[in-house]
Amino acid sequence: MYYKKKCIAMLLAGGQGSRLYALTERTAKPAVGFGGKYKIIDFPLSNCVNSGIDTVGVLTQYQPLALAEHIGNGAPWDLDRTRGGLSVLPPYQGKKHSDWYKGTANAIYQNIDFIKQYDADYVLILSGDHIYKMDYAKMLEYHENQEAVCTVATIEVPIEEASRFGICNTRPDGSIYEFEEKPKEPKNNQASMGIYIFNTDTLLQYLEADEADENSSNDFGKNVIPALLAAGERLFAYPFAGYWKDVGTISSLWEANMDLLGENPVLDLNDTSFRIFSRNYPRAPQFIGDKAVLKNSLITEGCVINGTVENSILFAGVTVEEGAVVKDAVVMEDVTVGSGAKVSYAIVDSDVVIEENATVGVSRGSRSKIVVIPKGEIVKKGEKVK
Amino acid sequence: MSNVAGIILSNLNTTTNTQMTVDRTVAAIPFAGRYRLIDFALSNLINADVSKINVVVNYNYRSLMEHIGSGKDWDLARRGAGIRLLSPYQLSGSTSSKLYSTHLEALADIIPIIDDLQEENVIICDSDIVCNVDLTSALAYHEEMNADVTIVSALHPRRGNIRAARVYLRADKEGRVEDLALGRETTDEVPELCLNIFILKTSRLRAYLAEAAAHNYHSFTRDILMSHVKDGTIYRYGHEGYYAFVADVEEYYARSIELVLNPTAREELLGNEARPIFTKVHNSAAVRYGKNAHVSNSLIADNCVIDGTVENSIIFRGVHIGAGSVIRNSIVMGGAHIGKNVTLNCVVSDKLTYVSDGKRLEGCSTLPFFIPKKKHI
Repeated sequence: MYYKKKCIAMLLAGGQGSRLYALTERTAKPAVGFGGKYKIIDFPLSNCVNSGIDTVGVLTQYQPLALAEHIGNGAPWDLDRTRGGLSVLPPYQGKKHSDWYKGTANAIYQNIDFIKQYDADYVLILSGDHIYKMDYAKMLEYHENQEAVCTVATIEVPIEEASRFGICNTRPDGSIYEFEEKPKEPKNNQASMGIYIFNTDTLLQYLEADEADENSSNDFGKNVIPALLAAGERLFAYPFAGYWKDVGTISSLWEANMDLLGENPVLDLNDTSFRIFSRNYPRAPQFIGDKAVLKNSLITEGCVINGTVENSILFAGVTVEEGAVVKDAVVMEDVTVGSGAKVSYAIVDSDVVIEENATVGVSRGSRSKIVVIPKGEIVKKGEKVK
Repeated sequence: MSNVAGIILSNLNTTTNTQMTVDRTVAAIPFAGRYRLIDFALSNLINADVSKINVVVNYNYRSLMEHIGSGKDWDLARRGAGIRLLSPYQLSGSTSSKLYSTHLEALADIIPIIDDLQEENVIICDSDIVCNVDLTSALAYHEEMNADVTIVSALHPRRGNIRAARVYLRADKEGRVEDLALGRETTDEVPELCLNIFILKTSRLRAYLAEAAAHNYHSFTRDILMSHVKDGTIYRYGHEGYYAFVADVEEYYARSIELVLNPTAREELLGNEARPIFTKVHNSAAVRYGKNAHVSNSLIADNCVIDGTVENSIIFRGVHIGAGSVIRNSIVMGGAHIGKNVTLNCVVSDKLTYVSDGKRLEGCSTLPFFIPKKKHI
């Protein structure tokens, strides 16, 4: 028995995130850690519940173990519901067909039955690669007011970066007349955020058509949105103003973490009016020893700090021994930084041991690159990793 | 399936610690940065696979109810087991409205529940005792000795600064209890301290309660345990690590600061990987330390924003400390707002207090200054 829902969300969480290299070697990108206590997927999931959307299908594919463990039954987001709630939707073997998700549109196509059973009027399509806080209810209201069949959330990006995005060219009323995927010469800077609201019947109609087209790469940005435009459908751009960051590369992931620092951070996670929910563990409070020096940092429960931590993000259970210096770095769960070791301008994945007097990264400078230490590595005593 | 049920008595001694229990039970007093006292009793039980837990409440238990919720955070939202709160229960037609004030009265209040227990043993815990004790071993010992009662005792109790009369005991080499005595301090006759965690055969507990009803007994220790020592079936299980009773603000303060100053105590209570302490988890961000933060030797819980100096202190969740403020030797409970250039020394601040800029509050280590919940200063 299913209950009718006005709007359900489909969260595309199967991406590999190949430009995050070592961080996504064994973990899907949405399960990559962020901000000391979170994983990337916590942002779209929390946005959903903060927007009153209580039915979310999470489409997984690449390396789903860490992601599935994190999501569980959706309880951290109050999505363990009797009516609706969170469902993990992996690719499956059908009676006639069985296939991996070939593209974003195909992934949704393969789960049409999930959408149908809730008899939803609208489907919100999300991806698990961005850090942002957004009230989707406002976007839905806009979609209804414009009587659109599809609304694309957009954000203004610097024009010199616009060629990296899908760009929406709009009329003065906000309706889209052209969608250009990664244009060489962008006409404006309204970039698609990869967030779409569709009327369900329109979505199903175009997904069927897209699936029937053998030449299609089954992608929303490349195929489905252009097909709707070509047919003269009513598409609108919903302009979003606020913090939004694609964390698809090592440097953007590092930058987004740094955006949490400072007196009035551009992304404030302590704001209780729009909480980001995550799976929390009962670790002991952090202990800051008498040799510790802390400056402009985020530190999480279970940490034991006796060294220097500056401009850094420390996840749960990190140990920084006496004389160690962690600077401009993101250090994930249960890492040990031995005495006298130096970590700077780096992302250290979980369970890494940096032995005493080892050096990871060089100090933050214009030409230096962020060093990544993969999960579980041991950086030997005195070793230098640059 | 565990063959043990747990009973936690949440209101005993609520009346002795009057400052901190104005609108909460002893069990709900915040402790060690992110816990409430009951978390230690609950964690001791669940770490020994006890999954049927009865919490006997009496009055002002609203904050305790909110803390426990469905019991999910302790994995105690179960079918057929899990946690339940037993509130005072009056049969229709009954005119008595007396609330319990002793162990025995509390247990007498729930006789129908005890009669229904299928489990062979029960563990009865007070909630004003903080410790991380291995009840799996205690249970194994209880069964090996075929004991009627096994009392968890501190083998090496602290001396001096004892806030209230407590039960001390002496045991022989096997652990059989030879003497039990109420007193202010340990003596050579009774060197160990009873931690008010009792493992009993359920059948024995029923017999004791019947005996108590027949003789109109009031005290579980004095009237029941002391008189049954001669049976030779009361044993003790010795606990070596940190423990704390929290009888009043002074004792609360002393035991809290001990966690900051003594790494062994901290490790014994909170650092045992096989026996973690569970609590209600919040969705909270990491602690944000500002450019002016100087922190040393302190336990700090998540979601704080700290831009001042913190030394030898415990800061609970969601506390804001402004630039130029100096917090020393203090316990600041959740949600407090400490403005700029505030000085706190030897202060216990209850939850959600507001200390405006420039204020200076100071107690001393034996008599901390207490700021009541939600007080604006």
